[in-house]
Amino acid sequence: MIKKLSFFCFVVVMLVLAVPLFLYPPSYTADGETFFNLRCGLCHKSKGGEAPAFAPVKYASSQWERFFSKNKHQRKKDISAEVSPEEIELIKQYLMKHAADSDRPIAAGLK
Amino acid sequence: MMKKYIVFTLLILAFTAVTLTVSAEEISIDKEVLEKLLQGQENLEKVLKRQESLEDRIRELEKQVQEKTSAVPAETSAQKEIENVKDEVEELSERLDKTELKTILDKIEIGGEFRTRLDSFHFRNVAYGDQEKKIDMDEFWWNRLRLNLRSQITDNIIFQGRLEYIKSWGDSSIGEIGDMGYGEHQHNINAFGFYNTGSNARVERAYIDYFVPDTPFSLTFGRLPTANGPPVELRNNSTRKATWPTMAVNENFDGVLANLSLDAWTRLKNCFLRFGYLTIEQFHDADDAAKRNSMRIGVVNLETEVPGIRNSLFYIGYTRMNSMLSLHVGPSYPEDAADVDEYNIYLQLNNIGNTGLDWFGAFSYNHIDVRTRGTVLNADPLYEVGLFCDSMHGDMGENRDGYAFYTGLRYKLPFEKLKNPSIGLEYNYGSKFWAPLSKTQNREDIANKIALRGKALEFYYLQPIYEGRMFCRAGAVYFDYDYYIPYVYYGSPLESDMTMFSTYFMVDVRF
Ligand code: HEC
Repeated sequence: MIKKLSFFCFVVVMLVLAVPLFLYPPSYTADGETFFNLRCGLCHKSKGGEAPAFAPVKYASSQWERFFSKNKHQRKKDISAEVSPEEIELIKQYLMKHAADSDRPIAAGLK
Repeated sequence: MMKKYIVFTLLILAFTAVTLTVSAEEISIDKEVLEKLLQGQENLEKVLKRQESLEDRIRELEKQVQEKTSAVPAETSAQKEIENVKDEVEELSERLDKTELKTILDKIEIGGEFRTRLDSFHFRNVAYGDQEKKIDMDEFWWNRLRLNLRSQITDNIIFQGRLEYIKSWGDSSIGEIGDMGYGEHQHNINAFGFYNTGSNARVERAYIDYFVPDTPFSLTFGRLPTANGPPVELRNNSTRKATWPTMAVNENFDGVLANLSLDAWTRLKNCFLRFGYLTIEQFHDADDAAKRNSMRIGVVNLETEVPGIRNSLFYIGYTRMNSMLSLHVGPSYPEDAADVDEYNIYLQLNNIGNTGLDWFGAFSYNHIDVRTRGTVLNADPLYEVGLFCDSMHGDMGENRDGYAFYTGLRYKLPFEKLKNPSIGLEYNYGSKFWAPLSKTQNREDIANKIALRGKALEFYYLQPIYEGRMFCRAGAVYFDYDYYIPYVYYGSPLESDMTMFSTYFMVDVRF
């Protein structure tokens, strides 16, 4: 009886807690990561791209900060046609948040 | 004699005539040369004249150049600047060489976590012989230091490690309830106990990740990252820090893992299939030294990010524990106590729809295949004890099924001025025969609710002080024990009315 009740409680709690899922159906929001993959990934590809692919851990957060504030990309290539300033801001935040000196996730086999 | 003079004179005359004719010829040559010379003289004069005019022009140009340089000094200063820059670049490259060398020799990155925590515990209805007691511990302070090590040895080999120091303030201690001599692999009856390293640091994890080049395979071996996994990171305001959810495995294990990344073959992200082989104790048969029986754990699990939700985690896994240790006390004990099968399912959704809401839910089920023979304790009458069973309650050798669930949420409050503090609410339940791989000595909480056979409710408030570097957390936990077990994992679970109310406050700094 107690077992059944507990299981029932569990199901109810799970369902109630899952309500936000239904209110906000899962879809990637237009965040920094999306724009990073979409815009920067346009040229930066692991195979056959105009430039090599890279991950946010390429630089430390202060280095990303400098990369964007000094508009360093301009020296390699003008990308103002491909990426808007608003997107750049989001991408910058994403890259800084996942930079080499950020709090990295740890699990076996994660690079 | 005269003849001789005449001949001699004639000879002289002839010689003179010959020389004269020759010299006459010579003279005529000189004439030509002279003519030429005269011509050359004319030419030379012309050249000299040109030279003069050239010299004039040079002088003029020099004058002009001088005038120009004094008029436009920027040109030389630009040259100077270039020289300076050249010097600077040379110097920089020299210095860079030195730093580069130092960086190359700097083989290990060290990070740290430090926290100080204050706990208070209030137990009620604690079974104490025939009576019920209450126990209050108003103040228990402790520190925890973690040194996290990482070395990217090559592109495909990574070492990670962690040294950990946990110490109560002063020499005070809380007894590790149920310490039966299995060191850190003990299971604790009352889900309560403090792991005190004293002033020493211990190796919490130390392992190698080897990524087989150009394949989705990797191997992880050593002392594995298996403690304080999801969802512990939510309450620690950090990212995931271990391989398995706490409900599946939450203690330190030595072993080897084979990881297969499925991202390339599916459209999933961070999708891994893992096979693990761990041991708790090798060669533990003391009855017969020739016997070599080990307690082994096999794990197979699949995990993936839920499509559409960043950093979410779906996990489904099966764990087999072969030959759970029997109690090594008394006049006789069996080779092992039981085999255990455990099934886990876990789902964690982070920042759902960008609302700042995180949610997780876990369900675990375990089946215990108990041996018909137990450890005989030195008591009168003889008393036999096995995993979750004993002879006194007449239930040796039956199978036991247990289960547990754990769910909770964390909400990041939209108060930017307060640096977005979070509130969290968690609830968990463990049934009578719930047998988790989670020890009280899991170094996060002294009261380890995951190991509880009963219900626990926790509320916390997390205040970031310096994002990513420092936060404090205050929380309250209520434990309602349904069962307790007399000897670690061993003996029939006994019903309990015990409750415990605990509050805590901690400050955590990361560097
Ligand atoms: C239009 C194509 C294009 C786009 C879009 C693009 N890049 Fe690049 N990027 C390049 C090229 C070309 C290079 C030079 C590659 C080389 O030097 O080999 C480069 C180089 C870089 C470098 C290396 C710079 C260095 O000094 O070595 C970084 C970092 C970089 N890009 C970041 C970005 C980021 C971030 C974005 C998105 C906001 C982005 N790129 C978008 C084409 C692009």
